[in-house]
Amino acid sequence: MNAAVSDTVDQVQSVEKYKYGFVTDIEADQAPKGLNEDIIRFISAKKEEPEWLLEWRLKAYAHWLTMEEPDWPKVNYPPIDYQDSYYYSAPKSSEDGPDSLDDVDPELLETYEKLGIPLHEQEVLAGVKNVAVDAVFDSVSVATTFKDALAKEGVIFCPISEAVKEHPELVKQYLGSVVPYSDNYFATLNSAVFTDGSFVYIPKGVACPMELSTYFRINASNTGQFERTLIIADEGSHVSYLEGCTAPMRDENQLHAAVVELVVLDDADIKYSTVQNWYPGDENGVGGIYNFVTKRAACRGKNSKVSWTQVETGSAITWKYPSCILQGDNSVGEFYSVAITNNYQQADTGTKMIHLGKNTSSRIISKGISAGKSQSTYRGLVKMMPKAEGSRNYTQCDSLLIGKECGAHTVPYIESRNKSAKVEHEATTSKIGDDQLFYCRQRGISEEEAVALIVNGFCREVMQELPMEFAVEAQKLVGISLEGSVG
Amino acid sequence: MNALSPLSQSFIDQHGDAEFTARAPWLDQLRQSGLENFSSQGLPTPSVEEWKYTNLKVLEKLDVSTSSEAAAVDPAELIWLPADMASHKLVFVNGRYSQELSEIGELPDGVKVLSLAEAMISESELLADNLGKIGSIENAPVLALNTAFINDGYVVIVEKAELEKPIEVVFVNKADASSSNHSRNLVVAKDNARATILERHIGEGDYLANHGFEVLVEGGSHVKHYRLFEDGAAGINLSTAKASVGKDATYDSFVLSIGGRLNRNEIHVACKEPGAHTNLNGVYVGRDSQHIDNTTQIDHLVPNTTSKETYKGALDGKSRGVFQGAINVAVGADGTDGQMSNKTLLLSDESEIDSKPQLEIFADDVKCAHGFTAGELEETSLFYLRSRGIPEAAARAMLVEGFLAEVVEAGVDEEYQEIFKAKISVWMEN
Repeated sequence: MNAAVSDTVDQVQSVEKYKYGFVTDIEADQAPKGLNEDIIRFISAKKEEPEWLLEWRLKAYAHWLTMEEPDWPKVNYPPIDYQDSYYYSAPKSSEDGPDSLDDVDPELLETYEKLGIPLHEQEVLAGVKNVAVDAVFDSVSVATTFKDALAKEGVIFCPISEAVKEHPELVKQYLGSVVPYSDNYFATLNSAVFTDGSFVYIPKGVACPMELSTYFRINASNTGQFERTLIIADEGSHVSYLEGCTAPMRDENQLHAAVVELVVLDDADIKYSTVQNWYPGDENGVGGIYNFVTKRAACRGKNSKVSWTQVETGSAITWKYPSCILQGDNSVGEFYSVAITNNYQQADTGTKMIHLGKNTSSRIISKGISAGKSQSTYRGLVKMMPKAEGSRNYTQCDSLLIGKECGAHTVPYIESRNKSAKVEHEATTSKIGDDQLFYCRQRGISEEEAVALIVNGFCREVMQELPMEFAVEAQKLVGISLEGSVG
Repeated sequence: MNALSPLSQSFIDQHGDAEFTARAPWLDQLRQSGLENFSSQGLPTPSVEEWKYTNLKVLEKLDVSTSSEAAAVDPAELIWLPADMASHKLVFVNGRYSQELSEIGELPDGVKVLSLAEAMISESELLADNLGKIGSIENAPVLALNTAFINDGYVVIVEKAELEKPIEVVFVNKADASSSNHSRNLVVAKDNARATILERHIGEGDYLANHGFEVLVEGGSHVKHYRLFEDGAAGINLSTAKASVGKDATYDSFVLSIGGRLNRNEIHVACKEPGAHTNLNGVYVGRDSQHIDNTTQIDHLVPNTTSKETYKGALDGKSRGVFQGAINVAVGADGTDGQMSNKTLLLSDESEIDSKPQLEIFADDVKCAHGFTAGELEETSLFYLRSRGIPEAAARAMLVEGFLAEVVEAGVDEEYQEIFKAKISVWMEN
């Protein structure tokens, strides 16, 4: 067995099926079930928000009431009862806000230990990891590490609820400027009820000294998680941001409707990586998270760049299209995605690249893997506006099918209104070749290992875009997600 | 349900007064089902996904709800095939068969070529078995409208026979005032039959020509369906073709869209038995504010069927091209091979291409791929030709023609290629 193979085998063996499926028993402070103006006022009051933000939330709620839930994605799910969910749930002990990690509920810390996220700064300082972490538990951020080190560079990394208090001018200027409150059904709902999330501001000319990371965890039952993330990269700055998510195993479906807004100014760049591992439901399709997320980046400045990398293995239903609005001249947008679905999972994901400025370029690499009875769809838009002189796009969507009962679909929309713009799109669909499998089997590799090996190879182009921290985890996930899909 | 547009409503009103020459209880029933289907939705708007990029609002301005009257046609303007090319010729003026302009000639055994009105008398049973059966009107409001007004069109039946000469069909639209017509055409090929249909669409004035085609190709048969859309500058041509391909049979379609204000050409092919194969090819060229929409759908329903599709276009002026191609592979349709490609040259600053090459796959042992490109001519190719002393304008023309001719060569039998290539050359000269 060569090194790569034994590596894959070890990884597959080392992780059990869904190891994040535990529930942390923590007393939670919850708002009453249901959704109405009072709940929104309650959330706003809990967060001690200024009047303008409450008004913004109420405006969004009023607008949401006039909207209809979209039915165009290729996903099926029973109607969601928006009144049968808690919109605010906070671990009780954090009610007054922890001053330091010592004040955080030890059970919570244990949760994050289990997740493999060391929050203790000393551990971090000891060189285990050089990553600043913001941990969001249900509706609130429980701990943010490394704040001081970041502050020295002028980097702001804090829960968005804190940013509203400490940096209202920044929040007011940028919140909703990329994803307006009226954008779409789930983003509008998020605007009305969002509870927490991360806020990042990188000042002019600063390369963020470490990777920033947020871990999202849904714990309480019957709660929806509506986090809102806002990242602003000022002129000439750079940041790499990681996002991870897990949830307990439950029979019910829980809604996760997040909004992520990125603002990139002249010569700045943001690298945004996600490993999405929400609970996908069991092998009969019971339970799991509905992951309906709006992510969008505005490349406002010249030579700005955004790179989205995502590994989507969890959630019963995924519905997300991380997008780039390439407004500044020479701006660059990238989208690297691996979406793996198994059992009854459904994923409808892709990206939008809107080219407005001159010489803008975008690159889309999407790898979809469907197994079991799952359905996976790539849906994307590439749009060249009349002023996008000399712009370029390259898109590659490959789908891999494992088994007879799954489906893989590709729905690209391409619109070009500029003759000097070049758009190229390629898509293929195939299964794992019998010859490839035979080659591996002949060398003594079991079928399941061979599949993991081949799939990891299929995704390599995307995996290599991930920061080291995530790459190992993602590679393991590929193996686990496909467990039971062959044989 | 939304309220119907004035035009949709007037089509429905007009139906009450329409006098149909072809009559039979089953046909009245078929028309009624078309009318009911159309009445439930009206003409599609861009909010309907399949019509996202093509807006039929322009029809409302023309008000084409009246039906076309007969008009005088000069036989000279109908000539488009080389003088030495013999054919079985059918001419339709404003959707009605013209006996005097047509010349069907002698047909081999097992072949019938006639108008739908005639076929209603001699081939009533075959019509009843096939019309409205090959193509469903579900989610096809324009075909439903056509179905409501079925009255004339061409019928080709080929069984156990090989047709040597091509069947030539010319649709002429001549309108003094704006008007519409709805031809419905049927091709049935069975038992190793061979037939080639060369079809040309021309016209003058404001009109809507709404054509419906149903093509059944079975048992090792091969039907080649080559179409030239040269409608008049104000003409609107909506064509919907539905083909059903059986065991070891092949349906070839080639479309050259060159004229008309708005041309929507929709082709649905269902590969229904193993060994079924289809080639869909097309060239579209546009200028001024022409709008050309090619929408195709290929359903691979059983194991071991194949398809190959190539559409290329060149767009100048303010013209807009639309390509929507879907390949669907059903559960269990293993061994499917589906290849689709769409390439467009944008020749002007204001031209636009909107493309949606779509794959929907429910079987794992398949090979499906699609490719798309859009952009202007390669500078390096242009430089190569110019460096050899060819003036820029001529070099550009050569490159564009070469780019488009590739599809003609791949999609059309050699003996007919020149007809289509010549049309592209004339377009280039203008």
